[in-house]
Amino acid sequence: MKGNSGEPISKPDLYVLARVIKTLKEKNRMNKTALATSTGLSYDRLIKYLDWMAQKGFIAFDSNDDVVLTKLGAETYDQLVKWILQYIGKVRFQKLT
Amino acid sequence: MTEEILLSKMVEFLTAIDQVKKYRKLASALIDFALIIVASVVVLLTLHLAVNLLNLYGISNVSSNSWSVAFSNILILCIGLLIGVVWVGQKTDTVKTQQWKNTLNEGTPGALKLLQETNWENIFRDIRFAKLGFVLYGIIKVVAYWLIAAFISVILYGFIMVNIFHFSFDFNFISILIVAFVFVLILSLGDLRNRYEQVGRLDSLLWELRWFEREFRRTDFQA
Repeated sequence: MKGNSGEPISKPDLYVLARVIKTLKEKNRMNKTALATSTGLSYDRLIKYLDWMAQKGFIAFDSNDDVVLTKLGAETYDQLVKWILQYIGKVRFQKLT
Repeated sequence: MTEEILLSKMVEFLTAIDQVKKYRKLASALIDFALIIVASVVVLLTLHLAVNLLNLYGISNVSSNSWSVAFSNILILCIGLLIGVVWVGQKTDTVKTQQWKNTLNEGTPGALKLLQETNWENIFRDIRFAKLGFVLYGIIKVVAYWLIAAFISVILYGFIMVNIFHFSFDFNFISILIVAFVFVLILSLGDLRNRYEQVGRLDSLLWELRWFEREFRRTDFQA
């Protein structure tokens, strides 16, 4: 799960997923090293996440092996935002003085 | 747009949590505040004892009912209250707020991280303590004001009776205490109402967060 061992990711950290997708949304396409730097992940860990995300169809690799966000990946990010908002949006935070 | 709404909701959430942390600190500073008030009362009683002892041994001839002693009573209590309020203020100011700002600047990932790292049990406990601290701080403050008001009332009563009506300085301390208490209650009504409403808000916040924590943890995002 942590991605530091040699095993593939079974249940990804949503925070890491969201960071990767958000970075790709902003930059459109990126090479893996730059993406690792932007997301603050180690290269090995990023590769595991990218493998998992590619399997799910959230990202694709172009001819230069750069990472590209797919339409499904962008939609998943929007769903994630809506999912959190679905809960936190219902909470009425009292203004404390 | 949806992300902006999410982030503004997160700011509301985190600001409320920061405020709860401040109230929590207030609750823990309450013992200090109470001790400072008690210490000023002890100083005041010591002063009376010293004056009486000095009179007893004929070293001085200052009556414990004299104006100078009466004014020093008020001064000691006022200084005690002031030190207490400043002390509590300094304690609550040490609470670091808005430490989430940089993380939240990451957008949705930051919001997720903050929610994942939230220690809900701590927050619920803090809210409960905050409620208690908020109420007790108000009560102790009213008691301190009451003591000051009682001493001022005695001085004023004495001044009016002796200097204006030329009566002897004879008073019923219980009735002065009651009058001072009613007076302080009337003056503190706004503060007490505010505290009552704040406790209600904290209660409501506790229930809302309990619901959110349960729902958010129960469901899993399906990617």
